Amino acid sequence: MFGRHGDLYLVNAGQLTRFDTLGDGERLTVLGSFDLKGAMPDAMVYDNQSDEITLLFAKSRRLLTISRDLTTMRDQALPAEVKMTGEVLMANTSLGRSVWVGGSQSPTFYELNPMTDGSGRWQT
Amino acid sequence: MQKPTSLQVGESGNLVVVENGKVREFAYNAQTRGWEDAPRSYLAGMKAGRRLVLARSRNNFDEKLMSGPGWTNYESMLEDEAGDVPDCPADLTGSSDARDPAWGIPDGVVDAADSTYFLTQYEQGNKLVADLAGPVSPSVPDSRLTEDDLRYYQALHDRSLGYCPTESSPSK
Repeated sequence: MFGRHGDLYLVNAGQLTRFDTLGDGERLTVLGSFDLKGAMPDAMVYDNQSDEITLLFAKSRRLLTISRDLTTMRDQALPAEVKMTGEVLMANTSLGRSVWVGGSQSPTFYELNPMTDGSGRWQT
Repeated sequence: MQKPTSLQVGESGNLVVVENGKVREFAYNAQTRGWEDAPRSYLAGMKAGRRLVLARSRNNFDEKLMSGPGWTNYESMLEDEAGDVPDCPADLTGSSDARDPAWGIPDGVVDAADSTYFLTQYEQGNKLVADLAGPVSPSVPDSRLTEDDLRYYQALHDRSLGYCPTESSPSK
């Protein structure tokens, strides 16, 4: 997944790695990595408003939000009312902080916003 | 929804979903407070694979770096005192040949090439260029390409033929 500053974020072997795609070299330069303790996210999006990456772990029902430079993070639970079955789907836009989530076997999509009550908790 | 395989959010705020190999677009209806199939969607009904990704516009604005007076204060310079450069909306291209690098680049002259360029964009359905007019007001685009747009551009072109104005009087 690409960030708006040209960074590329990949998850492999339980690590989120940030690459510089704008360099002149033939190989991508690794700018940093974040240890996900071996966990594999089901979906991830880049928030252009806050320059953060949000990873969704469906099994543990967690949303992990990590700063662009992979130095700070927030780990929060999905709101209880969110029901997802099947393959996880997640999307956002460049213009807002909302994240939409759903599942390929679920009839409902949920809009989550971290700012609704000022606490930073994800709200539906 | 039944077995969606892809979910995207457009910059209009609409949801774009792939369901049974076809695209559906949903818009929020504030009156019914519900999501409905978007009217006049150009994506809806298109065939799609399991994965659909919408392109998104981005900029590099960083409020930590690009806010505050240090970012916007600058010395008054010659260009500030040169006056405004007037618009020349009928000037659309420097060439009538789509293979020419000057195609689509205004060249300061309104001539037959501009008319050719406009007609090409109109026929290709490029609303960004060709949607100039609507039934309510001649200069207000209506997101549709109709004869109103053709007539509006032709009139604009005809009264702008020749060199574009280069500079207005300084306002100071």
